[in-house]
Amino acid sequence: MWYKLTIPLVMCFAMGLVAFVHEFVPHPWAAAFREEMTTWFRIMGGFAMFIGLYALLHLHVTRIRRQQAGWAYSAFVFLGAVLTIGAGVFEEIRAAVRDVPEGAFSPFDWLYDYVQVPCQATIFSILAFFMASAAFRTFRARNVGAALLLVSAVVVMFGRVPISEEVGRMLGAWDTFPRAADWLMEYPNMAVKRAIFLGISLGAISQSLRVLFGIERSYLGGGS
Amino acid sequence: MGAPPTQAALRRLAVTRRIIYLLVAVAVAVPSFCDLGCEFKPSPWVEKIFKKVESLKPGSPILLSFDFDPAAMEELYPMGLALLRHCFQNDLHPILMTHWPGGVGISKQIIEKAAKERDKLPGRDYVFLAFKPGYSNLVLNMGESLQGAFSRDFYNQPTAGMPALEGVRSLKDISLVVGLAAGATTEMWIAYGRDRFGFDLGAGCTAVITPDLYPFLNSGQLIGVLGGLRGAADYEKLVKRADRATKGMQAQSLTHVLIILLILGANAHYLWRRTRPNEKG
Amino acid sequence: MSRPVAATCIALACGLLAAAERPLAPPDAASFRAFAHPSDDGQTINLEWGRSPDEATGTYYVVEIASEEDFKAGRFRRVARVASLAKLKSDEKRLRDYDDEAANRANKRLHYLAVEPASVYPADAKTVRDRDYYFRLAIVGTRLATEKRPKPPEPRPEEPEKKPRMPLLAAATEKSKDFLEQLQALQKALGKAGETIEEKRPTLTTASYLPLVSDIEAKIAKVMVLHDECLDELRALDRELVRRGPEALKQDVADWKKEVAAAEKEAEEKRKNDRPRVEEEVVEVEKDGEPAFVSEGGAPKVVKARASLPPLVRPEADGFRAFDLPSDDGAAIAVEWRRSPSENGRTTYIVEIAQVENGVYGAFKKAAEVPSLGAEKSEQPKFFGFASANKKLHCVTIQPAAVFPPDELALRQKVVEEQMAWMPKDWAPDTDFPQHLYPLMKPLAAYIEVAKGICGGVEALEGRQAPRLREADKGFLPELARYRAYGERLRRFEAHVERRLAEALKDARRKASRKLYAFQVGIRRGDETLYIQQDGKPKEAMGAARPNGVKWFKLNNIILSLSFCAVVYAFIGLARRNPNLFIRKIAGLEAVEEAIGRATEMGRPVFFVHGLGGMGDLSTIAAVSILARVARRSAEYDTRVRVMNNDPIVQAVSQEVVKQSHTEAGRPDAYNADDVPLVAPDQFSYAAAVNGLMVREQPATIFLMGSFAAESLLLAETGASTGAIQIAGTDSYTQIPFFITACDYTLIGEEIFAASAYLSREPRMLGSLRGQDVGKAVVMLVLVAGTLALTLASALGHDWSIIQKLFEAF
Repeated sequence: MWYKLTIPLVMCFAMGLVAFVHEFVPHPWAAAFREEMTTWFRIMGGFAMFIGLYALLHLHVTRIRRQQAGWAYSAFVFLGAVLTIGAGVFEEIRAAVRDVPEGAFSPFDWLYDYVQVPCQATIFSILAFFMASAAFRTFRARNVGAALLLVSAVVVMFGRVPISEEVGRMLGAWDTFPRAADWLMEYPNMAVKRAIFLGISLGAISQSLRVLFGIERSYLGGGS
Repeated sequence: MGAPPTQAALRRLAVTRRIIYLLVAVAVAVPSFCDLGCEFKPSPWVEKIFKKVESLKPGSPILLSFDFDPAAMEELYPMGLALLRHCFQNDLHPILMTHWPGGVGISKQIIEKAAKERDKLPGRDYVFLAFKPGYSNLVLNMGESLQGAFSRDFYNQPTAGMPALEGVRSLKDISLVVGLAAGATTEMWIAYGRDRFGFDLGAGCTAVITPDLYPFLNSGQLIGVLGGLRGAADYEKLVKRADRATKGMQAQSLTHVLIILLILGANAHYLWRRTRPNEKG
Repeated sequence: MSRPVAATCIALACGLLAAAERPLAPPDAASFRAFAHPSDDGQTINLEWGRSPDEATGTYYVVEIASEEDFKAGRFRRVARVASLAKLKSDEKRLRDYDDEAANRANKRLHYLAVEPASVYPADAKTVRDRDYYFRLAIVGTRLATEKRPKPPEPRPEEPEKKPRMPLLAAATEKSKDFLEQLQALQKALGKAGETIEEKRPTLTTASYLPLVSDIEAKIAKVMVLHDECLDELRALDRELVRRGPEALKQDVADWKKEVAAAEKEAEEKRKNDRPRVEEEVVEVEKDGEPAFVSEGGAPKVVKARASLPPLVRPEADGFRAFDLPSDDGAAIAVEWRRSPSENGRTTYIVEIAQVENGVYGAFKKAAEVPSLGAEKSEQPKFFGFASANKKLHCVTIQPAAVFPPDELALRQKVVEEQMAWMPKDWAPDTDFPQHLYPLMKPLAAYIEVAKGICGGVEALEGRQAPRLREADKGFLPELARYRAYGERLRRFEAHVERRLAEALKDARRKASRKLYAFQVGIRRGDETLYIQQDGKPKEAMGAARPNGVKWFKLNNIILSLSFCAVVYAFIGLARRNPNLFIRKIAGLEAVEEAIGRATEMGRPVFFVHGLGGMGDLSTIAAVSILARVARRSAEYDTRVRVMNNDPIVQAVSQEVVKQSHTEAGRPDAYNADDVPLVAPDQFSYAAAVNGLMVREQPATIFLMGSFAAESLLLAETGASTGAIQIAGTDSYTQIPFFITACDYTLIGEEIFAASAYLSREPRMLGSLRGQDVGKAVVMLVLVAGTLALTLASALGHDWSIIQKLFEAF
C-alpha cells in the first residue's frame, strides 16, 4: 500500500532537511524546534523499551513451555528479573513506610555490588585472555606489511608498561620505549585513523543522502 | 576463502589457546603474591591535571563526571578514587555525577570510600548528584542552573542552600571539570560544556579510546588525559598513594611481556618452518 | 704523523678553541636608544636595540638601569633579562602601525623593552616623570653548572592512628553529647527561623521560605543520624548493664582512660625520636657568562631617558558605529570604533549604553570596560571575517538584556500569582510555614531533656535510656513527617515557579534585546575619560539586535556540503543512464555468498550479530540492508539465519526484514520470529549471551555488522574458536584492529556503507558510491595541494593563510 512507503519516506526527508537547516540557522525558532523534537524523541524511545520487553518475555516463555534446548537459561532470566525487580520494589516500600537509617542493608545494592558488578567486570576481563590468544594467532611476519604491524604492536605494547622504563634505564635513556610508543601512536597511527575516519564520514554522508532521498529503504523493514 | 579448518587443527588450536590462557592467568596473578616494584614516571598529560587540581584553593568546587559502568571499572575505578583522594586531601568540594545509569553504584562506592578515609560528609564537604537523563541537554541545564538541573542529591537532600555548593549556581562558577569516560562523553563535555561555559576540562578514559582524545589535547580543549590503568597509576604516584592501579601495572607489565614473548616465539617457529625445504610456508 | 699535517691539526684546534672562547658580539651601538611614543603611560621608558649576530637559545639580553645618584657612583642594577630570540618590536601591539606595513616589517629587526624604573626604585613611583634614568645593554651567554642543594623531604605516607577502643559507657555518653549539641543547634535554628518570619513577613515570598525550610531540613537530617547512632549505643549499653552491672562498666572507662594516656605518651616519644634525614641532591643550574656590553668609544654605551606622559587622545569619530551582531540569535549588538594613539597597558575603553524610547535617551549606563590593547575586531573572525582592516578597529558585543535585565521580582510575583490560581484554596505558604515549624519545638525540648540526662553519666548507668528516647520519638516523628511533607509541597511549587519564571525571563530578555539603544565610547586613563566626539559633542551610535536567518560563518561548510550532495546526486543521475559502473572488488562482500553456501553444506546456522547501535546509527542501517540480502540468500538455500539484537527497535526492523526476505525467496513458512530475538539490551550481557549461543549452536558463518564497542573482540574471538567463518564490518574505527585480528574478512571504514550498493548492484546506489569517491578525491587533492602551498608560503616568507582560513570551521 502506497502510504506504508510514502509517508515514512516523506517524514524522513522532512526531518533530515530540518536537521540540516537547523545547523545553519541561528534564529531562536530553530533552537526551540530542535529542543521540542529532542523531547519527543526521548519520550518515544522510552516506549520502545516495552516492545523489547514483550519480545524478550515471549521468547523465553515459549522456550520454557516447549522445554527447548537451553530452557534452563530462560528460567534463569526470569529468576534474575524477578529478584531484581522484587528487591527494588521492596526498598521503595520500606522507604515509604519508615525512615531507613544510612548504612542499612539494601538488597538492591547488594545485587548490584555482588552480582552485576563482578559479572560485568568478569566479562570485560576475559578480553585480556582473548587479546593474548588473538595476538598469538594473528601476528605472523608473512609479508612486509604484516612484519611492520608486528613490530609496531611489540613496540607499543612494551612502551606502555613500566618495565620498559627499567629496561630503558639499563640502556642509558629511561624514556626510549615510551617515546617510541608515543610517537607511533601520535603520528602514523593518528594519520591512518584520521584517513579512515575521513572515509567513514564521507561514506556516512553518502549513506545519509541515500536514506534521505529514499534510495536506501531497508530500514523501513519491507525489503526491496 | 580457504577450506574450513580440520578437526585436528581446531583441537590443536584449542590446546594452544588453553595454554595461553593459563600463562596469562599466572602473569596476572603473580603480582598479587609478590611485589615486583617497578618504578615509572607519570606522563606530562597526567601531571597537567594533577597540577591544575593542586592549584585550586581549599573550598573550591570541582565537578567530576564518572561516566562508566562496572565493565570499565578496573581501569576507571582507581582513577576516580585517586582523584577524589586528591580532592579531599586538598579540602576541595567535589561534585560528583554520572551520565550512565549503571555508573551510580560505582560512583557511590568510590566517593563513600574516599570520604570515609577523611571523615568527609555529604552536603557539607562533597555533593553526590548521581544520575539524571538528558546527556547534552543535562549539561546545558547545568550551565544555566545546577540546582535547577539537580534539585536533590543522591541522599535526597535539597541542593539549594547546600554548604558544599556555596557560591556555585551553575557550571560557570566551576573552574575545573574532570570526566572519566568509557564511551563518547568526553566529546560531549567538550562541545556542550567546555566550549560554552569556559571551564578547564580534564579527561580520563579506558586505554582503547585514549588515542581518540589526542587531537583535543593538541588543540587545548583538554588540559590533560588519564589514559587507562597507566593513567590511574600515574595519578596514584602523584598523590603518593599507591593502590590498585599501581599494583595493576605490575600485572600489566608481566602480561604484555608474556604476549610479546608469545608473538616472538610464534614468529620464530613460523620462520623456522618456512626455511625447512619441505614446508610451503 | 708528518710535520705539515701536525701543524694543520694544531692550527685547527687553536682556531676551534679561539672560537669557543670568543666573546659574544653585542648589537650595533647606534641602534640602542630610548624613545617616546604617543601611547606612553608615564611610568615606563621605551628602549630598542638591533639584533646581535650571536643570538641563539641560551643567550640573553641584560638591561641595567641607574638613577642619577647611582650613575654618578658608577652603580648599575639589573632591571631585565630577556631571551635573545624574544621581545621583538614587531610583537608589541601598541607600537604597531596599522597603516604602514613596511614599518612593521622593519620592526622585526629590532628588540623592544618597556622598562618600569619604579620596579627597581620603588621610592620614585610618583616622581618617575621628573627624573632621568641611565641604561646600558649587554648580551650574555649561559653555561650549565652543577651545585649541591638540600633535597626537600618526602612527605610521609599517612598512617592511621591506632586508638584504644572506647568502652560502651564512654561511647554512649560521647554520642549523647554530640546529639545534645546538634539538638541545641537545631533549637536555635528553629528559633531564628521563627524570628525571621515574624520580622520580615510582608516582604517574604515562597522563594524566600525555601532556603529556610531546606536549612532546617538539613539540620534535622543531621540530628536524626545522630539520634539513630545514639539509640544503637544506648541499646547496647542497656544490654551490657543487665549482663555485667554498672561497676564493671565504670571500671572499663577507667581502664580505657589509662590506655589512651599510655598511647599518647608513646606517640609523643616516637615523634621526638623521629628526625627526618637531610639529604642532598646535585642539580644543574644555568649560570650567566661574561656580559658583552653595547659599546661606544671603547666604553659601554649609556642611554639617558625619562618617562613621558603625552596627552590622552580620543578615538576618531569616523568608524564609530553600532549594529546588529551578524549570524546570531538576536541577543547582541556589536559596537566598533577606531584605535586611539594613546592605547597602552594602563588605558581602557568604556562602552556606555542608554535606552531610546520615542527619540528620547535614557541615562547612559556602563555596559563594558575593556583593556585598550584587547577587544580587537580581528579577534572575532567568526562574525567579522579576516579582513586586514579589522585590525584597525575595536569591537565589543553588548547584550542589552544583561545591562537592562527584566524586573525578576515583578515577573516572579506575576508567575506566583498565576500559579496560586491553580493551587488548593488552603495553600498559603506564609502562614503554613510557622504552622509546621512551631510544633517541632515542644518534642525537640523533650529530646534535649533525655540527652542532657544521658550526658550526665549517672542516669546512663541507671539503664533504660533507649526506651526513653523512643518515647520522645513519639512526639517528634509525626511532626517531622508533616514538616517534610510541607517542605516537599513547597519545593514542587517553587520548582514549577522557577520553570515558568525561566520562560518568562527568556521572553522578557528577547523583547528587551529588540529595542533601540544608543552607545557612547570613551578612552579612560586613571581619572580622565575622553569620549568620542563629533562637532564638539559626545557622539552616539544607535543600534538594535535582530535574530538572523543564516550562520554566515558556516558558509564554507554550506558550500562544501551542498557541492558534495550535488556531486552525489549528479552521479546517481548518471548511473541511471549508464548502469554499468565499475566498482572494485571488496573481498568481504564477495565472500558473503560462499559463506552462506558453506553454512548450507555443513548444515549449521548463520549468525548475524547487529552490535550495539540503534536505528539512528548509519552503520546499523547499512547492516540491516546487508541482513536483507543474507536472509534472502539463506532462505533460498534453506539455511537457518539467527539475528542477535541489542536494541528493541532494531529487533523489530530486523524481524520485518527477515520475514520479507523469506517471503521474497518463496519460503514464508521457514520464517521463525524466535530466530530474531532481543538478546539483551546491556553491552556485556549481550556479549555473554551471544558467546554462549555461538558455543552451543556452533554456527558455520558469523556476520558481525554494525556499531561495536569493547565487546567486539569477545564476540570475534569466540566465533573464531568455534571454527566459523567470520565477516565483520563496522564504522567504529577503534574496533577495526580487533576484527582484523580475529575475523576472516573485515569491511574497513566506509566499505560497510558501500555494502548495500555492492550487493544489490542497483545503478542509483552505485552512482552514489561513485559520487562519494569523487568527493573523497577532491578532499585528498585539497589536502595535498593545501599542505604544499602552505609549506611553500612558509619557506618563501609569504602569508598565504587565506588557504587555511577558507576551510576554517567555527
